Amino acid sequence: MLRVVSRRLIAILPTAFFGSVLIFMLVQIIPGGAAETLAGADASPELIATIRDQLGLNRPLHVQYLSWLWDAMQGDFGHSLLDNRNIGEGILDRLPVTIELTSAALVIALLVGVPLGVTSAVRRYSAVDSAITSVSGLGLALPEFWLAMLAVNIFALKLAWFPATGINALEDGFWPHVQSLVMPAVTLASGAAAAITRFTRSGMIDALNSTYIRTAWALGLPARQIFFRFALRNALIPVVTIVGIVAGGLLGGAVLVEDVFVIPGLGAMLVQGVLQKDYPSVQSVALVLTVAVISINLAVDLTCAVLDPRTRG
Amino acid sequence: MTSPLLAVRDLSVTFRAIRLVDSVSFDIGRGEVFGLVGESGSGKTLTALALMRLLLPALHATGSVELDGRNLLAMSERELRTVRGGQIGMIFQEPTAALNPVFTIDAQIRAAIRAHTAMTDRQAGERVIELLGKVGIPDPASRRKFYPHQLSGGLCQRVMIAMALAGGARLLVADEPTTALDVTIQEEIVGLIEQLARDTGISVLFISHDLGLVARLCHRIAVAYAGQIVEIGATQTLLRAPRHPYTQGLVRCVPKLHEVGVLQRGIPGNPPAAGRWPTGCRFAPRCPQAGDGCDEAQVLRDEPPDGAVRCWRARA
Repeated sequence: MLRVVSRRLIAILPTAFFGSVLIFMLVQIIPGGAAETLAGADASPELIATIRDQLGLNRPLHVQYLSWLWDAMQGDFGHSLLDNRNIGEGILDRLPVTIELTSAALVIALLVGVPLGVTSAVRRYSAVDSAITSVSGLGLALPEFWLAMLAVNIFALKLAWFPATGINALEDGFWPHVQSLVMPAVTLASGAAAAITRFTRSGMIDALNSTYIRTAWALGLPARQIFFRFALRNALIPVVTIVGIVAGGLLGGAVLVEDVFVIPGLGAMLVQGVLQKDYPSVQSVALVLTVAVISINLAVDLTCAVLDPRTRG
Repeated sequence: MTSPLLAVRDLSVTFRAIRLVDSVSFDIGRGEVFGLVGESGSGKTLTALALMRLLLPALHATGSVELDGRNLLAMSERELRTVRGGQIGMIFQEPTAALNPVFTIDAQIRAAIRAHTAMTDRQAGERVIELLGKVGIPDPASRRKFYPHQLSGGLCQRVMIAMALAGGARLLVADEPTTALDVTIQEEIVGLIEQLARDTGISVLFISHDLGLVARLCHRIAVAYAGQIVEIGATQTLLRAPRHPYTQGLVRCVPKLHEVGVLQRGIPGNPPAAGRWPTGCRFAPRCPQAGDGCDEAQVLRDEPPDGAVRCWRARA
């Protein structure tokens, strides 16, 4: 197991390197650089040159990259071009909300998707299976932001079950906090739940059609044990892999859902940064999200190794 | 003869309107090793799956399969569960695929023991070691912690046999258990089955396409062709004086030591596709002796003392 962990950690390095290079280059590629933004619309070329100098934009690219990465690794993400606020602090303020929202969505997606997928597979080609497959098809097809707007309309504005916007602080009480989290988390989870349902179903059907499950029937094992122990563990291997991909999607989806529900998370920060050409903020948030996705995939690989002895090698 | 352990009567397997297995009947005595030989498509695997009630839902079995007088085809799922693994154990063609890849062999054999006996954890653990030793796995106490991918095909098949016996089965159904293995390993597995049958008195239904292999192991043999049994007989009789032309062809194909270097003659042509069977004798299109009278459907006729043959010419 230790060997698996160290091997995965080493495998992460190139991914992290290329990811950071791409994020860094983003700013170099996009027209209208940081200095132009800072200087304002009708600044003189001299002013722009001065600012470029101050920001260190005249240094060679690799020097800029290394100093940016070095600072970022120490938690220093620089300052916003707009209000000169410390970006690192801004991220720390916003990260907990986004983590809570995406984790809640992931938990919901798993709690809904795995049981539905198993039910679908065990009763395959039945009416139940068709119903689950159609609903999950909808979940895959409908964009989260649209579901979010629909949910706000029905459950917040018409029925007033949940607040339409914002997240109530945990200090103001546990239930109000949870209540305000329900709609964003559920809408964010919809696509992920659908994907997990589909993958669980197909993984489970593959397992149930396998020779080793025929062996289990031939041994007279109880049906419950065959489904939920011997088949399910095999079926979950592809599901865990897809969770890595789904979790990345959730972070992306959170950007839009946070926007609809006016939640002050990383997504909102990213959207603002993009709209106002605040490159350091965009870079920093993108870097944090990239690290998050890489870490999730590390966790996924390790979970796979636990589930599947063949990958432990 | 005392009552047989397993009595298969008019067992047919149909898919839509196609009869893939057509009225198969045979008995297996207590302690008897019975062989079922045929080419692929002859219905031998379907016969094995049908008597365990393991057919895919699209396939339908009729007739009766009586184990000690109880008809398996009429049993509830609940009763069936005590028979599967508890009375009849089954092993398959691909031993590595037949074992669950994500559980240790200990966990898998334990599950089989637990399904049919009331044992404590510790007793079950000891039983696993005992069973693995019995099927010739070296160092069973540590090997039981292995996953299937850490074992060779031959060892996996031994584990399968241990598992099939774990619930106290009295009949072992072995469906082409050596086809996927190397020839030397094949010898070892056949030897193991032979030894288990001798030592424990378990009955065996051994299914194979290899007549030579079946003849070495089995007391009696049934030959299947195109979904029907064409001949049944004691091994010695069947080998020395095969009556059905198809059996005669098969016997000719078994290599003999004094004929080394002689090109073996096969049976010309191919078996008919399922459902496209001739209305008369199904072997007639390939039969060197076919002639008048072969366009009639053939019946399986008893041949004293304990054989049967499906060919009108064989009466003479």
